[in-house]
Amino acid sequence: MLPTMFSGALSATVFAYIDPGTGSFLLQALVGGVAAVIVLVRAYWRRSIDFVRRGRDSDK
Amino acid sequence: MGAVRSQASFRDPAGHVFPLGARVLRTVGAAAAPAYEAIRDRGLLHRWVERGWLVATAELARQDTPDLDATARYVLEHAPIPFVSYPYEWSFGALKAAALLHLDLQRDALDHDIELSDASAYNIQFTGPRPVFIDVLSFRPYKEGNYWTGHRQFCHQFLNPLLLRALLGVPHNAWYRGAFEGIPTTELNALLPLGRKLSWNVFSHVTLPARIEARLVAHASAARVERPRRPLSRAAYKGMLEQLRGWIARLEPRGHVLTIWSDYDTTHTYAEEEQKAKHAFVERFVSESRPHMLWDLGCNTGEYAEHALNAGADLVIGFEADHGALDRAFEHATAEGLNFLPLFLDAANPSPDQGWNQAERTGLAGRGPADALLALAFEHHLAIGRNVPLDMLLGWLTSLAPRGVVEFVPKSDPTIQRMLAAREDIFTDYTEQAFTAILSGKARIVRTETISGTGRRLFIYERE
Repeated sequence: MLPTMFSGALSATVFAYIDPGTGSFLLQALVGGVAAVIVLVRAYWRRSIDFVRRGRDSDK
Repeated sequence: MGAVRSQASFRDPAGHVFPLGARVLRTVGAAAAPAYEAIRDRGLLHRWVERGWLVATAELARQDTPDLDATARYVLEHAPIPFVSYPYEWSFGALKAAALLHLDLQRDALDHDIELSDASAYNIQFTGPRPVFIDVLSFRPYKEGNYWTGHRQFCHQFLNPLLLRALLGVPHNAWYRGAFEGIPTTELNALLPLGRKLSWNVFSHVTLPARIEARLVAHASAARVERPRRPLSRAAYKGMLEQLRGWIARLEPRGHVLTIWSDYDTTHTYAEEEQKAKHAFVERFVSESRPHMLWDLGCNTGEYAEHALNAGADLVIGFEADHGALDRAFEHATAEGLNFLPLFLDAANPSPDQGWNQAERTGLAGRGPADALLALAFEHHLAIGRNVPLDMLLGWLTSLAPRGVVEFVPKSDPTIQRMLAAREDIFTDYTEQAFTAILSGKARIVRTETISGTGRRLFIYERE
C-alpha cells in the first residue's frame, strides 16, 4: 500500500543531511493535510465565537 | 590575506565562513547569490536582524574585502558569536528556544515566499540566553508545492531530543553528543511506551515517520527513485509548522524538576552572613579584573553569575552538570535578560573535538581561555567525587583562565562527609595545606579568605 519512494541510500543512518526522501513526501502530504484542516477549523471556530460575542455585546 | 576557511564550513559548496582575527566573514558564491539577493531585497535580512532572529550581517564592498575567494559574488561580515556552543551542551530550555526560533523563521519566511533548505540545529547559536540563526545561506526561494525538505532533520535535531526529556524524562545531552546529527526517530519511537504514543502529535511526527522509514529500509532492494506525486499546499506546509510550534511551546521536562542541586540556593550549608561574605569576595574579584568573558564552573542556578554580571563582567558562560539546576539557570537568565548562557558540562568529561576530521565541532578547551574563572563549591566534586588528584585538578582549572576564584572545601565540611559516608576515605593528601601549596605552584595566590564556619576557603589565583 505504501509507495516505494526510496532515494537510493542503503541504510537508514545514511539519510542524514537534507534527505527529503524516506517517505517524507507521503508523511507530509498526510500530516500536512490534517494540520491544514485543523488550522482552518480553528480559524472558523474563532470567527464564529467572535461573531457570537459581538452579537451579545450589541444587545447590551 | 591569511584567512583560513572554518573547519566547520564545508558542506555547502556555494559559500564558506572565514574567521579573520576577531572578524567573521562569509563568501557567497554564484550559486547562492540569487537566494541571498532574495532575502536581502525583500527586506527580510534587515527585518530578522532587527528582531534579533538572525545574526547581524553586513555586506562588504568587494574592494574592501581581502581576497578570500575571487569568484565569490558577495562577502558578508557577521557579528561574531562570543562563545560557540552546541545543541548537546544546551539545556532543555535552550534547545526549546532554538526550535521555536527555527519554526518562527520558517513561518515568517514562507509568508514572503522564502523557505529554509535544511533544519540543522548547528545553524543556531546563542548570545546570552537568546538563540540567533547564523546561516544566511540556508534560505532559498519557496515555490508553491515544495515539500519541507528539512522536516526529517528538524525532528532529529530539535524535536526528538526535546521529546526524550519531555516524554521520558531523559536529558538529551549525552545521547546527542554521540549521535551528533540528532536522535533518530526510529530509535525514539522504539523507546516510547504505548501510553506516550496516544497523541496525534506523537503519532504524526514520531510513530508514523518511524514506521514508514522502517518499511522503506526493509524494502531496500526495490530501489526506485521517485518524485513526490502531488505538490504540497502552502497551507499544509504552514499547518505542520504551526502544529509543531504549538506542541513544542508546551513541552516541559518530565519528572523531577527538583534534582539534588536545583534547590541548592535554599538548602546549602552557608549561613546568611557567610553567603554575603562570599558574594562580596566574588564581586570584588570581578570588579577588579573586569573580565569580558567569565566562566562559572558549577554555576548551579546562576546566583553568582548574576552577581558577576552586576559587578562588571560582560558575559558569563555557566557550566553545570545537574539538569534541574541548569534548567532553572536558563529560565532565570531568560526571565531577567542576563547576558548569561548556562550550558551542560560534566567537568570530568567535557565536550571533545568532534565531527568531520575531529575538527568540525571544537572541544571545550579549544573555545577558551576565558578571561576569568569562578570555581565555587566545585573542586570537591572532582577531587572527592571523581578521584581527580589535586595537582591535575588545579592544573586544569588554572589553564582555563589566567585568573579566577577557586573555593576549597575541607574534608570536615558536611558536604564531603556525606560524600564519604558510604566510601573509603583514600584522600589522605586532601588538605588545605596541600591545596594551597599546589595552587601556588601553578599561579600566584592574590588573596584568600575563609568564608564559612565549616572552613571553606576562597582563593584568587593569577597566572603570570
